[in-house]
Amino acid sequence: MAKISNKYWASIDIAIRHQLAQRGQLVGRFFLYLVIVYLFHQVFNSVQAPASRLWYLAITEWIILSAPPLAFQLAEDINSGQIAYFMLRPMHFLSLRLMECIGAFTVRFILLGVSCVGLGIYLTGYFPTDILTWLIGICFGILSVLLYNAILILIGLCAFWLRDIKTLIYLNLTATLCFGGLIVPLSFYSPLVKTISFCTPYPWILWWPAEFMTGGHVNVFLALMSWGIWMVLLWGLIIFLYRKGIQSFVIEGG
Amino acid sequence: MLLYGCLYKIRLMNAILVENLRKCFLTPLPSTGSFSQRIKNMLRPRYQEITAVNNISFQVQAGERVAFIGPNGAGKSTTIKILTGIMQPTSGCVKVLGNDPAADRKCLAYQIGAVFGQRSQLWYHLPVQETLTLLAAIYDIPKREYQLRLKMLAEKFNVTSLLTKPVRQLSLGERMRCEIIASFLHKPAVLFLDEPTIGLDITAKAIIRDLIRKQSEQEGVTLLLTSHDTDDIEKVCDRVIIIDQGQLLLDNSLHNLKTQYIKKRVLSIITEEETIVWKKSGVLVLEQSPHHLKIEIDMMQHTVESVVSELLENYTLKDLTIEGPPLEAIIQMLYVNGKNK
Repeated sequence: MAKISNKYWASIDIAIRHQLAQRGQLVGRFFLYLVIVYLFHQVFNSVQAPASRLWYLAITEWIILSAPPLAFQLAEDINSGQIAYFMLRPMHFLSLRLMECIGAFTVRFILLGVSCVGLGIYLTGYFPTDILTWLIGICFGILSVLLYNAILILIGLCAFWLRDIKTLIYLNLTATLCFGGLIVPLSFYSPLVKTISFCTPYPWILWWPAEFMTGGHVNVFLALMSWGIWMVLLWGLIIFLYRKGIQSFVIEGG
Repeated sequence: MLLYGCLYKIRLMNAILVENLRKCFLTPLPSTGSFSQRIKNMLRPRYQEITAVNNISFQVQAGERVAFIGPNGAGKSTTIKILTGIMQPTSGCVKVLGNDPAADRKCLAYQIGAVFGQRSQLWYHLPVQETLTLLAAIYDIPKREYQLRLKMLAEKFNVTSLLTKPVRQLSLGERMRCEIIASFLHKPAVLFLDEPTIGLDITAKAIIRDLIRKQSEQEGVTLLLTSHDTDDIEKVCDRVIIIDQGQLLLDNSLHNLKTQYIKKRVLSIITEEETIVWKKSGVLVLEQSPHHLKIEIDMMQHTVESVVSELLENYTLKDLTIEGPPLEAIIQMLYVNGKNK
């Protein structure tokens, strides 16, 4: 057991170091975040939206920009044949990639989290709730990213059959934007769209932690239950697709 | 004691055993015809069976260095993927170090290694040592053992000063040496090498070949090398297995391959006599100058010994060189013969 955890920790550790070694990319991500939040600050100001809207947006963007491009990574591994290299190791390919993803996410999440708090206070002049709520909210945010990663893994695995997954990535982004409440909370949606949204996993990726951290009403038990159900469903599908994919694939460049 | 017992067992048995191996793939047929037919094909695609590996059998003893070669699309990569457990065979028996690769892939992973010349296992932006530390954790190498092993390999491969450099700052030759260290780190009993010298300059190639061979000799590592560079084969391996169109064309020692398939030999002599007059059927004069003669002997008509004896009877030889055709020419001939069959 200790050996297994050692492998996982080593994979997370190297991904953290790799992410920190790419300072340019981190700076670029920070500026992207800055520009997005500032632009929406201007938009919200012009329509005189309450300041909590900006906090909501800063949190959803923080979560979404912290997630590493796992789907592209998996598709690249499958299409280039690099997956064969990983399969020769005594560690499950998906576990290895997921651990690396968690390592990269950790660095981004911390950097953008600090930026989120700093920018939020600077632009709105207040902190939305108390520290304890935020600490719990951050835990929910981490759970959300795990769910988001499950969707990205699923999309990445489609490369076994589709090769090019750009369309799926685009559809996923659109769904995250619409059903996840990336820009405005789901409470602003019409009842029909809201019902449709809650039938998808996306609200449990963005809306739930952001609404909770901005002091909105969230049924935490229901949220955790939904998150758990979606995780079980998605991971079941991931394991099924991975097995099917491995059975059928022919590595290119043979 | 138990460990030595196990090692002894491994030494005794075949490192690789392949019996009647077959691997077929189903590939969808391209949809042709009218629009409705295309739609029909899309909904219910038709498949054709392609046999990538067709009934091949061979054995590799522990510690052997074998070149596993063939033209593009011959079935080499498919066979290696089956041997490493990545793919399952359609039929036949495969054992690597006594394990069924597909069923015991995780267990086997601790005992095998791979070097793919066109791919990297090193983290690009990080120092080499970071990747090696990760691999040590993945292969459950105890810390102290890892440090000793790394020190030994780094000294042997002359990369001690490179370990702290980010991979992106290394030359291709330096990177390749580090890749090989990464593959030898967990003391694999079998190492699969796929084009390990591709893209390297002549000096780097020579160093890599030498290091691989020496390391294999010292630790008794079984090597299975695939390469289109015949120098890799000559410098690293003792045995050659050639496959083409999924079938075994040849399985022989490198020495036998050279002696059996050489149809012509080139003889260069330097004599004390200035003028050399030489005419004989089955012997072609390639070059002639004062004191020097270069001839090509047809081995079907003469032996080298008979030609040399005849020369010695008539001339005083100061120097004599016998050349065979390069291995590349022999392999090319075998590929052509295989295709014609």
